[in-house]
Amino acid sequence: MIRNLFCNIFTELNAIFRDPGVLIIMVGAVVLYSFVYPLPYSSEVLKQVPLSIVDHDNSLLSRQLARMTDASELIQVVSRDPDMEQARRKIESGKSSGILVISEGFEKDVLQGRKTYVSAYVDATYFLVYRQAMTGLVMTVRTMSAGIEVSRFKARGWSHEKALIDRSSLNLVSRSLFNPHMGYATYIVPAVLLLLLQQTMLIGIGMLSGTRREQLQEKKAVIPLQGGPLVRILGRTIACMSLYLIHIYFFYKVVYQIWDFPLRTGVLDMFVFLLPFLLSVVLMGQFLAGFFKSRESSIIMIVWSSMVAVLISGFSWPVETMPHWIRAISMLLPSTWGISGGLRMAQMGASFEQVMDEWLCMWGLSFFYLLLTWIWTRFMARVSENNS
Amino acid sequence: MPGNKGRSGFLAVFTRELLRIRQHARYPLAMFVFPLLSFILIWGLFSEPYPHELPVAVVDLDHSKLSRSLIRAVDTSPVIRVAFQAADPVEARNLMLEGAIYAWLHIPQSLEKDILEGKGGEVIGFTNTQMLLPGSIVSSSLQAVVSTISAGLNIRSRMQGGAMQEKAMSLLDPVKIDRHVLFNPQLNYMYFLSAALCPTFLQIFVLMVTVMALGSEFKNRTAEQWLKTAGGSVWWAVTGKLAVYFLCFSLVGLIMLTIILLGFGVPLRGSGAVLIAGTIFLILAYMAYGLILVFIFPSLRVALSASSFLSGTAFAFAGITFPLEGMPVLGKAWSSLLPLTHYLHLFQEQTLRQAPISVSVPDLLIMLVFVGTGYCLIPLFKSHMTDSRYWGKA
Repeated sequence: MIRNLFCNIFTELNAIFRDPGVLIIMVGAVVLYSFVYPLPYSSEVLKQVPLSIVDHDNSLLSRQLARMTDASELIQVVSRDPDMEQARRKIESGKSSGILVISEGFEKDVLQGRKTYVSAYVDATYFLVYRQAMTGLVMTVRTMSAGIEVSRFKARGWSHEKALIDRSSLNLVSRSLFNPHMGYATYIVPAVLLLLLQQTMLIGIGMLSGTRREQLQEKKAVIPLQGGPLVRILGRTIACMSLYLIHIYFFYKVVYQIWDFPLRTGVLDMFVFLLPFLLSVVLMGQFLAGFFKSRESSIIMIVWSSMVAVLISGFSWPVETMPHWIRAISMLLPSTWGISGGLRMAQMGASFEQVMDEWLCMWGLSFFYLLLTWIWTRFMARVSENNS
Repeated sequence: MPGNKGRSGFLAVFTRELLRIRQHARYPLAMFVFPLLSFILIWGLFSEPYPHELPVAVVDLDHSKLSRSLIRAVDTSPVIRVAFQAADPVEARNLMLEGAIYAWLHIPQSLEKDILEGKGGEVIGFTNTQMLLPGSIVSSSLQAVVSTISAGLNIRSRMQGGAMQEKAMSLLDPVKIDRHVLFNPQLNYMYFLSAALCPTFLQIFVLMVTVMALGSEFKNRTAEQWLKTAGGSVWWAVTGKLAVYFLCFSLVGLIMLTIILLGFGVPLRGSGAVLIAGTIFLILAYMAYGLILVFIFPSLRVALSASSFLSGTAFAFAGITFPLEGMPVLGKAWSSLLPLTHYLHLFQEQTLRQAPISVSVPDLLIMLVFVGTGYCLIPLFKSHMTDSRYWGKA
C-alpha cells in the first residue's frame, strides 16, 4: 500500500509538472496574482483628493484657510473658481471631488467675535473619496477654529480648558488595532491570498482530473494509478499539498515582505494552521472534479465562485448581517475558516488556542469532503464497471 | 448538403450554435443559471443594507451610574450590541483575537467622579481595523453613542453654570463647517456596492462563455465544418455564432438592470436608454475581448486562464472599492483597458449623479472602440479556421 501511495504521488507530481496548463494555474497564477492583486491598493490610503475653492471673501483669513486646506495631506486644491457654477461643473466632469465655499464677510464675522460658517460640498458617489475629503476639510476648519478660539479666551483672560470641558465633558478616543493606518491593501490582500490558494488549487485539480479523463477516453497512454480509491485520493492529496506548502512559505516570506504587511506570528505556526485548510481544499477539489466533464469547465465555475467566496467569507461583509442560508453555504467553504483564523493569526497575532475552532472546522471539512470523494469515486467505479 | 444554399450562412451558423448549446449543459448553466444565482446571492447578502447587532465588549473599571448608562446606550444602539463584559483589557483583547468582538469600549476608573467634579473624562474605543469595513462601522456608532451621552451631561452642567458660562460658550467654535453631501445624501453605499457587483458577475460569464464557444471549435477540430456551415464566410461564421450569445446575455443584462433598479432600489436619475445602451456595449465589448483572447491564444485553456485573470481581478481595478485616483499609474492603465471600469462609471453617472447624457458619451465611445477592435479581428480568423495547426490544442 505504501509503495502504491508513493507511486501515485510521483505520478500526480509528474502530471502537474508536465502539463503547462496546470502549471500556469498552480504556479504561474499564484505568483502573478500575488503581485497584481495588491496593485490597485498599493498606496494603502487615499490621499490628495482633488478639491476646488470658491472664495467670495478674498481676505487675509480666507486665503489662510485656503492654504491650510491645500496643506492637508488628504486634500489637494486643484483650482480656485470664481463661482459655484464653475466649481460644480468641475465636479460633474470628474475633475474635482468637492468644493469649499467661503462666503463674503467671513473675516469680518470672525474679527467681530461672531460665529461663522464655511460650506463644504463633497461628492459622495465613492465612499472613500467622500470620507477622505470630508475628514480633511473638517480637520482643517477645526484647526483654524481652535486657533481663533484660544486667542479669544486669552484676550478675555478666561479659562479655555474649562470651556472645552463644559462643551463636551465626555469624549471618545478611538484607537485602531492591528491595522493602525487603516490601510486598504492590508485589509484586503491577506484574505485574497488565502482565497487564491483555494481557487487555483480547485482549478488545478479540475484540470488534472479532466485531462486524465480525456486521455483515457482517447485511449492515450497514461501512467496508471495504483491501488484502491483511498490510496489514489491520498496520492493526489499529498502531491498537491506539498506544492502548496511552498506557496505558503512564498506568501509569508516574500509577498508580505514586498508589500510590507505585518506578520505577527511565525511561518511555522501558519503551516500548522493552514495544513487542514489545504487538506480540505484538495479533497473538496477532488470531489468537485467529478462533476466537470472537460478540463475547461472547471475554470468558469471557479472564477465565479472566487467572487462568491470573497463576498461570503465574512471579512468584507460581517457574518452577523448575513442571512442564514448564505452563512450555511459559506461554512462549507474552507476559505471561510482559513481567512477568519488565518487573518487573526498572521495579521493580529492570535495564539493557536484562539483559532482552534477554525482549525477544527477545517479538519471537519476535510473529513466531510474525503467521505464525499470516496463515495463518489466508488460510485463512478461501479458505473463504469456496469457500462463495460 | 450540396446545392442547398438555404443551409449555409448566418442563419445556418445560428441554428448550429443553438444545437451545440442544447448538447452541452455548461452553456445554459453559465449563461442563465449562474448569473441569475449570483444576482440572487447579492440580493440576499445585502438584504440588510446596513449591519446591525455587531458584537462589542466593554471593560468597565468605573462601576458607576454613568458607566452603566453608557453600557446601556451602547447596547440599545441598533448597529452594535454588548456581547461581553470583560474584566480587564487583556480579556477584551483576547476576545478580539478569538474573533468574538469587533471593538471594545474601555471605561476608566473614577470617570463619573471626574465628570461630576467638572474635570471632564474620556473613554477609549479600541477597534479592530484589520476588519476595516465592520471596524469603521462599529467605531462610528460608538462615537455617536458617546456624543449623545455627552450632550445629555452638558445640558445638565450648563444649567448649573449660569450667565458667565453662557458667554464663554458663545466664544467656542468661531468657524464651523456646513456639510453638503452631493449625489448620495443618505450616504448609502451598500445599494451601490451591491449594484456594482452584478455587472462584475455578468462580465465574467460573457467573457468566459465567448472564449469557450469560440475556442472549443478549434480544440474539437470543428472549425472547418463551422466555416463550411457559414458558406465559407468568416463574417457569417463569427457573427452568426456570437449572435446567439449576444441575445442571451442581453436578456440577462436586462434582467440584471431590472433587479438593480426595482429590486435593490437604486435610483435612476439619468437616462434609462443610455444605461441600456451601456449594458449592451458592455456585453459586446467583452465578446470582443473574447475574440481577441482566442485569436492570441489558440490553446483553449490558456485563453480561458487569460480570461479568468482579466475578469476575475476586474472588480479590484474598476475603482469601486478603491478609487482610481489612488491607484498607481500601472493600475490606472490596466483599469482603463477594462470595459467594466467604463461601464460602472457610466452606471454611476446615469443612476446616482443625474449626469447629462453627454457625460456618458466618452464611456460609450471607449467601449465601442473595444467592440471595433474585436470586429476588425474577424477576417483574420479565417486562417485559423482552415489551418489545422491551430486545431486540437487543449
